[in-house]
Amino acid sequence: MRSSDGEAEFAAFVAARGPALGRTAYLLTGDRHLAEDLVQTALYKTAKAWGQIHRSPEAYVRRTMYHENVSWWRRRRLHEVPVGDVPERPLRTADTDTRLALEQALARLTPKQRTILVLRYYEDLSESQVAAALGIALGTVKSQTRHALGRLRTLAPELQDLVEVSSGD
Amino acid sequence: MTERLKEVMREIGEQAPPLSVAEDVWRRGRRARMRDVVLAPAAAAVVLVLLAAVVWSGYGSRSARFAPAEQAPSTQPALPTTLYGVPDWVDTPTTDLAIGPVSALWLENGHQDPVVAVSAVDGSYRLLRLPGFDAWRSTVAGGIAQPEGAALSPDGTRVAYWWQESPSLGQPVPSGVRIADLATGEVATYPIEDGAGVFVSGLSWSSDGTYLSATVMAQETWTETGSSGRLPTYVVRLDTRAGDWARWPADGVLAAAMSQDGMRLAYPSGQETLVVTGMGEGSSRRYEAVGFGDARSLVWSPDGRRIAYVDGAMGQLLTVWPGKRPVATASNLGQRGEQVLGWEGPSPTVWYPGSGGGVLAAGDRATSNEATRTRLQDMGDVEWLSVATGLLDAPRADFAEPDWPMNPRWKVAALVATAGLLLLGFLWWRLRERRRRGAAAR
Repeated sequence: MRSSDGEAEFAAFVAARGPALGRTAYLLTGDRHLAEDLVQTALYKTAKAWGQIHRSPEAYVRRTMYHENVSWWRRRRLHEVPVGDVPERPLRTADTDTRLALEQALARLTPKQRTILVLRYYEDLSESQVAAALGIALGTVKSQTRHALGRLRTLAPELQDLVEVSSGD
Repeated sequence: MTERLKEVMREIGEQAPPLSVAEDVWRRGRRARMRDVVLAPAAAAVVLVLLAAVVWSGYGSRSARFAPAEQAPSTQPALPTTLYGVPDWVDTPTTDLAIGPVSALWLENGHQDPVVAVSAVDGSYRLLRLPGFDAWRSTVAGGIAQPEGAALSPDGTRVAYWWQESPSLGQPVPSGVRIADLATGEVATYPIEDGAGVFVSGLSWSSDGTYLSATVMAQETWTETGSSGRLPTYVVRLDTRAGDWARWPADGVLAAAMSQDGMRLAYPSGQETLVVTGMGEGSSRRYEAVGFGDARSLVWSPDGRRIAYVDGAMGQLLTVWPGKRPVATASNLGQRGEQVLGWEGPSPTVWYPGSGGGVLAAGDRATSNEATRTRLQDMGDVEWLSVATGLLDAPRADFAEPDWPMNPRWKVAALVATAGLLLLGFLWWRLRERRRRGAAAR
């Protein structure tokens, strides 16, 4: 693959999947600037390894984003997550309150818990797919999911009907 | 319930602000890739080279000859003004004995087997591995009075040493004396057959190199684990032209001196008697001499009229004319094993051991002529020392210290430090690049 072909393919990939990656990054970080950094870093590493990616580049980028997000927080040693940017909304409805409450609660989870919830309930991956994406055991995914949902209930009791612990999906 | 959670998360995602991706992401990524492709093999190559250099440097110098840098040969063979100790990391002995005339030969404790030989022509140093010479055993078996295990001929062209083979069960150990010719490298063997083998010490030459004298202790038993000597000791003389051994009529002798013409042997007998004997029976004469009981390191003067020796009990250097009272030439010798090596004009030359080696001086160390001294510098424990006594009367040569190879430990330390600095530099560069990329991404 010549450099120009690779660059064109990469550009096409970014154009097509960039917005989706950005949404995931925002859910993972809860902050616009951090989300942008996360996507940039993941795409930089993907470009670096472009010739060695034999399967889906999107899967590579996402996996990179998940790991980078966790390792960033480890390096900064943040245990309490500040409330992320919440964009202004012209009208607050009950749905808006629920969304805000969930955003704030997500911001107070550990990076690993948050990432698992995003992958399970936003990316809609199964528990085993989440385990494969993060390179962790299936049992860890199950227990972290349970703990994360329990934490959300504690942080935001008003979200109880959203985060009732189920026996599995 | 989970469907509702998914719904709300989707809403959060859809409400997320649009993100921008820098246009140079692809270019930066590919540049980083190229750097990795080039740098990683280069770094690996550097590491391999450094490792190879470390391994190579650990072996030290391969040269067997160590000479002063830019040293012009002396116009005639000479003893140097200074003899230098060989650093303990220099360990490349040679079995090539064709090295020319040698002015001094010694065994340092740090080098268990090879002996150090200094060229009389250019002051170069070599570690000689003499075939059949057991350096350790030579220091043990030398007896109390004369510990030297090897002796240079007066002109420095040959070296005689105690030779022995390895013990084999039930068989006498082949042993005796070998003489190495330093001009040709050839070695001549002169076995002495007695008992289970012989220990030889006290080697000394006649002034013209014709005769070689040695003190012999036969062994009753001799195995790999040990041996037991048989008394009395006796003294033999080798005619190097004919290759024949003759036995002096002198038994139980530990310290003996052959005259420089090879015709007489002098040795102490009891506390106050000096015996001078020729080769024939009935040719011995006994003289009274005070303080002879602890006499060691006896050496005849070239004119054959006097004998110089060290009185260990009195701490004196004495000269005796057979039949006359000994005269003290130097005092305060202490208990450091001073040895008379030869004569320099009217005075005996003595090795005065000291810290770092000591000094060779004629007569009293305090009053001897500075111009005819030889200093011993930076030496470890010297077990024995032999000089070409025929060079004692000649002017000393001012040979510089040899250009010793660098200590391998310093080489290794320098290489490790260099590798460490390179690694630190690489890590610092990587960190800087990472920070720069992070800042650029924002």
